[in-house]
Amino acid sequence: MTGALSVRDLTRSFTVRERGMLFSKAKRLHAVDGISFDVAPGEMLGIVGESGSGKSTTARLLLGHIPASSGEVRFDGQRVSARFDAHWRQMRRRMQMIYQDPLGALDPRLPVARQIEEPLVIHKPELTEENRRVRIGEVMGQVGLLSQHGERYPHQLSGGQRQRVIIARALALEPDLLVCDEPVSALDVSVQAQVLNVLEDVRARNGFTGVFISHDLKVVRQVAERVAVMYLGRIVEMGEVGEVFSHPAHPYTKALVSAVPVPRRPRNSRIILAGDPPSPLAIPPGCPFHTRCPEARSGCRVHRPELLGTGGRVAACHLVNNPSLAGSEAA
Amino acid sequence: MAQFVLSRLLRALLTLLIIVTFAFFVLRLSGDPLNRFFDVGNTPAEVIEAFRRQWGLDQPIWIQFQKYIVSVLHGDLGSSMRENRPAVAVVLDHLPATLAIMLPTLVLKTVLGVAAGMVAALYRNSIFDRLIMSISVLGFTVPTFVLALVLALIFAVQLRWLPSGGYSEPQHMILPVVTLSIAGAAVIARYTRSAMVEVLGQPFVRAARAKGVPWTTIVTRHVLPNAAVPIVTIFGFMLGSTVGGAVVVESVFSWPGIGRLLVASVTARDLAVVQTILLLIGVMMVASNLLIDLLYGLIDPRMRSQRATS
Repeated sequence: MTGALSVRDLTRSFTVRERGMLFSKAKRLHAVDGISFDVAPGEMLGIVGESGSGKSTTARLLLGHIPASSGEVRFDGQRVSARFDAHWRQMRRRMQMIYQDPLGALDPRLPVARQIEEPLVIHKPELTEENRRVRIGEVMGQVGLLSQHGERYPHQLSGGQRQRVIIARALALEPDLLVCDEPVSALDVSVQAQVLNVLEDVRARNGFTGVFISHDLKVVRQVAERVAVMYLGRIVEMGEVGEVFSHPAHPYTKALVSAVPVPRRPRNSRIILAGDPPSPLAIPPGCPFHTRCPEARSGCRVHRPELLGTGGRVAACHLVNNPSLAGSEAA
Repeated sequence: MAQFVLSRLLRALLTLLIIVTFAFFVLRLSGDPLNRFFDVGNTPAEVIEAFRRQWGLDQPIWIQFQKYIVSVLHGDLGSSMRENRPAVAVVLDHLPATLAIMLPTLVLKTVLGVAAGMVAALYRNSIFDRLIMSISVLGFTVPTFVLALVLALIFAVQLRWLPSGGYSEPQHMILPVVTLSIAGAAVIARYTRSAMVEVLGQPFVRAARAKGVPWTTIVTRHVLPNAAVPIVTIFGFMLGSTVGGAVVVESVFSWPGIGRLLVASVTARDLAVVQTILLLIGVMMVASNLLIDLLYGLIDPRMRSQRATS
């Protein structure tokens, strides 16, 4: 099976203008700050983190929708660029995306079957109209849509149906890589389950490599094999989903996991983080999490922790990897 | 759908009734035509009396209004006091001249405006965008009579390339058409740009790009059709004002169209002619609005289903 995704030192910063007295000041916003990971063919990697942690920027970088400031993304050894040329467009046949807002991602003026058809027209010009019609019927069936839904316009469908249209549109080309950016966060819980089941079904059948972005740990636990936890544009912990969520190593992951409501767990076991995450315009020196970390030591303010570990289980925390760097006094 | 069209038609009729009523009373309240046609102090009372009786001005205004409405419903819009023939004939005589400049203007400003707005939106924040938007601000802030005079000064007086006024050769059309087109194109360009910029920022455009759709296809298939509603709206407004829209410019370039006729008739209190022109403008406005409303349904499926359910 093909579809290995490899990401090395991927960084994306934006220049933000801040209003001054007379002139505006340019500031750098580090949305994604030197992240590296691999996704094996057929594997699904979850990415979790709170808003502003750089999840969506990562998704767009992976597919080359926006250029990286530095670092690179390789897909099956081929470098993913963000030059919108013919080669870039050709690569779209293999890499597709599912969006957070299904209504926004559909053209309000076209019946949904036409929108599922569009990638086929572009990437598989050898198909006849009849072939395409059959293929549209197939993918719509796969995601649980009826053929009569095809003639409807996006506004005539429910939220869950729209998201299935988006999935069908992404699947029509049988992509090797599917990046899902919060695909169920705009849906009701019951509809979430349906859409997730559709995704899992299709993956069991077609076997694509996936990156699944969400702020909902339970959703990630259901669909992904491995998970990366992001904080302020960096990966702070990564590993097998079950392990990371049952034995979190990083204090931030611990806090996230403790915030998931579980029946019969005492409420006082929840770790409540103080305040909001710092602005990505002014990322704290040392460990970016030290301002909110309940276990922070004096050394955490000075030395930036590297993502270290063994057996694919990595964390960026001095307390886990190298307690001597953290120092002994509490910060 | 039938109900939708019917309710629109009824509303259109109501609008026309209001226009007719308003024109009727305001004209009569703002001056007596007698003063325009006679030196009242030096005219025998019998002559004045006869004039009043001839035009029905001797009756109470309510009776006059009632008679007027009845005759309008019978298709009679009254006669011109100045020319003593049906007002409709007078207006129709001037219509070709107006259409001769307004129709080319409509085409030119739409093509220019949409093209300029598209370029500005597609190359947003570039030098083209800045240039086009600066010219467009100039285009719709400078009043047409100033623009008309400036263009006449440059091309007629200084360069002597074009005539400054008149109505016989095709080159007489150029300055009025250019003047009107610049102002109109400026407005259309703004609308087009903002409509396009909004659609370009929509997730489905990014999604189309992520599907690998070539950029030109994205623009023609996804962006333009979705940006069409505001553009069609402003076009409809301009289509509606085609007949009566050039009062000032026609006067500056002595163009014998409806606009100049309107000015002359108001000055002369030629009641029937003014009312006929206002009614014609009203009908054009109402008709183009109706047309645009029906077009919306073709452009936007969301509006279509709203109508089907309402």
